[in-house]
Amino acid sequence: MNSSAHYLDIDGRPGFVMTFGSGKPVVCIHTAGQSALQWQESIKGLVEGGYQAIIPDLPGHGHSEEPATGPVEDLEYYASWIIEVIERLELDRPYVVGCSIGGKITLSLGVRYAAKLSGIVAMAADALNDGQSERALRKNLQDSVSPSRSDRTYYGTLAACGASVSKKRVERIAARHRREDPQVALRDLIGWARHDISGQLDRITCPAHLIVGDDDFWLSPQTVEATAREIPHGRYTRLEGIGHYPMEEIADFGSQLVKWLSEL
Amino acid sequence: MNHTLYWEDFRAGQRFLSDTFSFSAQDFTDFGHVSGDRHPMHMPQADRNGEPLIGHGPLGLARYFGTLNEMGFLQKSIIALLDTHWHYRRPLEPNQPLHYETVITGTRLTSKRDRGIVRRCIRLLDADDQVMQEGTSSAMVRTRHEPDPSKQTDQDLLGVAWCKVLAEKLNALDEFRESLQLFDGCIALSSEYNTTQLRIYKGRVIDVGRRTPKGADFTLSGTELAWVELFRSDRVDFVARATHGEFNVSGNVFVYLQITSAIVQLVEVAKTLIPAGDR
Repeated sequence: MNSSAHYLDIDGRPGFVMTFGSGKPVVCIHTAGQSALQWQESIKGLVEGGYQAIIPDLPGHGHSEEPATGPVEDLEYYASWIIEVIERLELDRPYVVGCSIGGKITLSLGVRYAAKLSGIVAMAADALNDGQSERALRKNLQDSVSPSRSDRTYYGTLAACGASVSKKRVERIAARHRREDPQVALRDLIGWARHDISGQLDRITCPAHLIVGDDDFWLSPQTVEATAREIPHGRYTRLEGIGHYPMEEIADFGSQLVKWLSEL
Repeated sequence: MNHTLYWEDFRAGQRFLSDTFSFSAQDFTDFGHVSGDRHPMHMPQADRNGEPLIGHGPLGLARYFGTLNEMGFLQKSIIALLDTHWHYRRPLEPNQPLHYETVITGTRLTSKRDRGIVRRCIRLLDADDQVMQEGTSSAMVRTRHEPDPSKQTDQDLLGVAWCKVLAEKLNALDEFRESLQLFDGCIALSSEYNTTQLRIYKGRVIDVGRRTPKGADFTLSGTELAWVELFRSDRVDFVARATHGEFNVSGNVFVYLQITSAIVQLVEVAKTLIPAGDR
């Protein structure tokens, strides 16, 4: 399998991107506080399906340094950063897939960059989420008011995975998520709480598929379905027994993703 | 269901569904005459100025007890209805398919050991499982046999006796002890029926009671139904349920957050007090 790793200088800070395979490019965007590791199990399926997987660590995550201005609270910054990655790597009309904040970033790319995309798959994301309070999240930026943060991330992740996923896999996902930097992850969630592209969905002119797990306690399937309805070529799938992290919860997720991409 | 259920047959977490039924416009008329509430909104023949016909809210409650009687399993064992707390969520429409869901949330033997209390949560649901009306109601029910006093037979969730059994199990759990080894305080678990305090010192529950000398650092509260549904869940999902507002914390929230891990362990141990068949 062809693979490459790049440190791209974006806004004067190193941004880390890996590529695997060759073929039609698919940019994969991870969730709040996480990294490219979330897509590791998807690589084989994507490459064998004839796609090239392009997997960045968003600024402040994994191997990518945070911007000079500090951790990011605006998902549109991440969307601009992804566009920069696409253009630096000269990706030809890539697909974009993302989950959670990655899903919202994917939707924003659909709004801003649809003409240069082959399609998008946005998982666990809607146009406007009302389940998070920016004020409460901001208070939690202080360690002194947010004790046992790693325990709460661990148990919160256990609860965010779907009922159909094995206990062993769920515990592994939760252990991965516990590694996050709270300052970065909380600001990602502030970005999630502030993100609002309602009223702009008609600008997503590329094919779009919105996916939500029916055990996802972070958002309601109804708001995801309503978002899909407002996208001109939007489709919607509800995954039974799956939670907020389909690419980590579903074994061989890459093959599933290839199927969705081929249907766009 | 044609066999009689006695007090011993009820356990927290049991769920019963009624057959589907509907109210006709004639039912609204009849209930209006019986209750005396002949407001035009409930009477098919009345001039409602174009407003829709809707049923009397209490009809949805009254029909529950009739449905229970028709189901038959309490006919020989019921002694008395003790209380009802009821909420009206959506208007009743004529000829709308409806059914009741009953979840047993707790049982308690009375001092007269030939009878006990059965607490239940009741929901009136439409065909899409939207809640039309809901509430709680307790009933006094005969025992089949007088229970052996040496055995704890009731499931008085969050009651002192129940929490003492929980405390014994927690004290035997290394993870619980380790997660609270620097803790010296008291937590309270609360529902609409019970509030019990667990005094904890260096990872051991050393006292369980309605009161402790210094009181609770914090109280974790939920309806008895919320506790039952939490204890019936196959998932480790307390954090999600708390995030959704099924549980509230009053008192020292900082301490509550500090001992997240211990609270999750407490919940997982409490699940073992609900028989697996009922989860």
